[in-house]
Amino acid sequence: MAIDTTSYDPRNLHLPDGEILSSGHLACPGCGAALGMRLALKALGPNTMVVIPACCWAVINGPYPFQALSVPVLQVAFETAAISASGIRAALDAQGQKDINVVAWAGDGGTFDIGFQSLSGAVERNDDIIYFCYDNEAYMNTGIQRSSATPYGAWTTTTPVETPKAEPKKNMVEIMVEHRIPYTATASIAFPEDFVRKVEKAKGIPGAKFIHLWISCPAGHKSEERNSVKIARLAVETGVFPLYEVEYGTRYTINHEPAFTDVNAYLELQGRFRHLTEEHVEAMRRNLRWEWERLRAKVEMGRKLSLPPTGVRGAVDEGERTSR
Amino acid sequence: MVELNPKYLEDVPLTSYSDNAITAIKTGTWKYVQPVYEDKLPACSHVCPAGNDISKAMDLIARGDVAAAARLWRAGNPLASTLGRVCPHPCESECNRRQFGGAIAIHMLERFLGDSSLDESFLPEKARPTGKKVAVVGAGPAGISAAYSLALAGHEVEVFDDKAKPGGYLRTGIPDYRLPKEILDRELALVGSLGVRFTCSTHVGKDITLDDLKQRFDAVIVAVGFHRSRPLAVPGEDHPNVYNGVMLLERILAGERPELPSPVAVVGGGNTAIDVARSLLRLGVEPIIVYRRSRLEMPAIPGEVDEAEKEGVPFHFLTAPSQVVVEDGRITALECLKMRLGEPDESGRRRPLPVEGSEFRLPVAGVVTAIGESADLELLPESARDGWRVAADERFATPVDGVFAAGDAAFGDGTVTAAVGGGRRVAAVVDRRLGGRELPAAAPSLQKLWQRPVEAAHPVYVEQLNVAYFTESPRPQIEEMDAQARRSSFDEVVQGFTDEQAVHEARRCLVCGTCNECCNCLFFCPDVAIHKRNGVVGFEIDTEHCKGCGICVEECPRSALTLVEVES
Ligand SMILES: Cc1ncc(C[n+]2csc(CCOP(=O)(O)OP(=O)(O)O)c2C)c(N)n1
Ligand code: SF4
Ligand code: SF4
Ligand SMILES: [Mg+2]
Repeated sequence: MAIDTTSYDPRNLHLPDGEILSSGHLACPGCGAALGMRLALKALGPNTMVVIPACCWAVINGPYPFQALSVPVLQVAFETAAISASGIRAALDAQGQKDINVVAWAGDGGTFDIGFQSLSGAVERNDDIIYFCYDNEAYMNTGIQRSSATPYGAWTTTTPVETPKAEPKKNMVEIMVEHRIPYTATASIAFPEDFVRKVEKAKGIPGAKFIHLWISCPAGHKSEERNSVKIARLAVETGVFPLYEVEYGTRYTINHEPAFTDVNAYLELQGRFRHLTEEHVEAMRRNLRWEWERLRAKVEMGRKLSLPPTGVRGAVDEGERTSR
Repeated sequence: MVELNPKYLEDVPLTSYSDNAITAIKTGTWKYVQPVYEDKLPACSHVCPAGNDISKAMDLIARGDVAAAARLWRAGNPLASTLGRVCPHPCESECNRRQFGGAIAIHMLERFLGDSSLDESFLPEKARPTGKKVAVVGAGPAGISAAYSLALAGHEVEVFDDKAKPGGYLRTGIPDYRLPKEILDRELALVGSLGVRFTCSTHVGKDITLDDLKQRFDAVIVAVGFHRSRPLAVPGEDHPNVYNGVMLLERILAGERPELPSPVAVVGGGNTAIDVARSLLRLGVEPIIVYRRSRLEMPAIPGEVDEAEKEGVPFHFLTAPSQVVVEDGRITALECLKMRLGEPDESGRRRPLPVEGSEFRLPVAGVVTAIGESADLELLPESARDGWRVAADERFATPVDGVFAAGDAAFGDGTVTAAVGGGRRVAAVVDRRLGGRELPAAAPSLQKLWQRPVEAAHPVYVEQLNVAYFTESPRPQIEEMDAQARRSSFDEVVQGFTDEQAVHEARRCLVCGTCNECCNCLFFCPDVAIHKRNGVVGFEIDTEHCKGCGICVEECPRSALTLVEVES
């Protein structure tokens, strides 16, 4: 029988088999941050060191003498994720150990707010690290306080339903892009292959890399644990969280064209949006259209622009690229 | 270089060290719900009257294991090749692939599996002989199916039929262009190879009595089907050019080429009417179908009506005959009345009502009656009859002890497929009885007879699927003989799938309700608590660490996992 059975694979996902995250960690059931770390480490592999500042992940990793990752982890002060990673990188470089991935893994509070200056410094120096911001859109570990990553209209303990957050989310990706670093990307736990590809790509690029990972948080978003991936998928498919990457602050690529499902599908699965009125939602829709207009214009602009000249910060000679 | 005070070195380690044996923390104790792998009945199998395990078979074909799929299909269905050809495939109307490029061509794959397994090596293993004997009256689909399952269960089975060869309606009522008789013969040979004896040309009720059978056998199954054509009850019906549709079809199928006048009115809207019309066309006679309701109410298989139309058979709907017009000894016309549709009747279809003064004459030279059939129940005592049917309860048992019934004569479902399913179920009941056990309150459902356990209470429909993982893929074109060429040939109209086509089509199946190792659960678990099982299809859950979030259940595309409460 001339049937090609070897090519048959019912899999929806093709991901690396290796596991660096282990069971027994202390994340809440349905935690997107745990899933995000699991996927990131599949791509990073064992030759990795991870810096974790104060955030949920500092707890998830487990109490001494346990830890959930089978790679070295350094837990540092809240505002110091990026600079700590830069320091490790410098030390490893001094030892000639260039083939180790140095990773900072911080929450949105630790990235958008308190760790912001340290991050800006590290990427301004184009330090050779991969900085992950796992974004659950609030200070979750200390009880769901608003951060500058909290979206417009959301409830948090510091933005109660009577006065929900009035400001839109800070656009951290664009701030990183404007540092003209070699690689900036957004990613989602609902699109693991895209995420893993981006991490693998970041590994091969010297200099500063920033990956903004949107994750669900059942406790903080007031959502059902089982819906964590579904909500993350809807964040992308409604257009709320575009999946894109930017090379050298210039070249934009949209990685997934959303279905542009109505934003209500995303909002209604999360209790933190339950108080919203139709006017709020309409305002969100207007803002979404406006954000997408900007993003598409940047894609267009990037096509016309050349990459920064060799030798200037942010640009790297092809030959310098290493693969870990 | 800064010198460290050795005092500090003694007290405190320079770096705190953690190992990763965090698996010692049993996070599984946190949960109050827990995912379990649980195969469920797909929408297609839910409505398959023969009880085929479609999803599992599709997955096996997709993996290239056609032999395993065929063995699975034949586990309780001896007529796969036949059903793939003649079943109206209700499964496809329910198929969840409908919205994503069109239903899976399940009947074509059933035909493919059947045709790929026409030798004994694909039959299930027979149970050890029980020493019990069963008589089956009627070698049609219900009888064949019952005989097959009972023989597999180790019983000695003898099938009686009044015709010269077994097959019943499959042989006498379904034309070769739909079901080549070689196919039927080969499937009957498979049943024969299990030791089933066919005693033909023996009319139970005339040549031998039911009491004789009851004496000689431990159980009797009556599966005599519908054979008698009902009369039109209009003047002129006794003319020699008015033919009984069932008998005419039987003659044509036996190879006779009767001389018929032309054109001929074929009265009726069922499969017999369509089959007669299409057969007459092939004999060079012009048929005209006359039916008293509209196309929507036709009991015939819609696909077959379409084919008749393609071949050029004309239809007169909402038309009922009132008289066969005979002039100078010859039929010159069929006088008809126009009808309109009133309220629905007991059958759920709208009742046809005559339009007064609407008589008109359809010029024809002959008439075929095909307005329905009834069973010949003379073999049974009065107590075992219930009007037109055999009195049988939900256990397929008749009031006469040891006598069971299945198929059209008992239930009048009207399809070969339902007859096959009924045969399977009556066999299960009789098997129980012969094993000395109490009869159940009702015959087991078809899924209860499957080789694998499936949860059947909540069939998997599109609402239960996670459609984010499915993309459009078009249903393939099914190859047919050119409609013009068909008018002069009894060759099979539909061409079967090649191996490649079959595998391609099976890979479109969403495998609703059954794990096919798509790996979503494996990769989406935030707790790394799902693991591949070695050497077998499927995964297992590390319940010591699973926190019961249910992401796997939600992200399973096909509803093969269920969240259950943890027993405390
Ligand atoms: C300087 C300092 N301020 C405040 C805290 C208390 N703290 C620990 S974690 C945390 C919230 C972290 O939020 P985010 O970075 O978004 O991570 P998440 O907990 O949401 O994962 C806060 C406020 C601290 N550890 N250090
Ligand atoms: S017997 Fe009919 S309903 Fe059942 S699988 Fe075959 S075609 Fe479908
Ligand atoms: S996709 Fe497959 S399993 Fe699902 S209903 Fe259709 S044939 Fe059945
Ligand atoms: Mg946060």
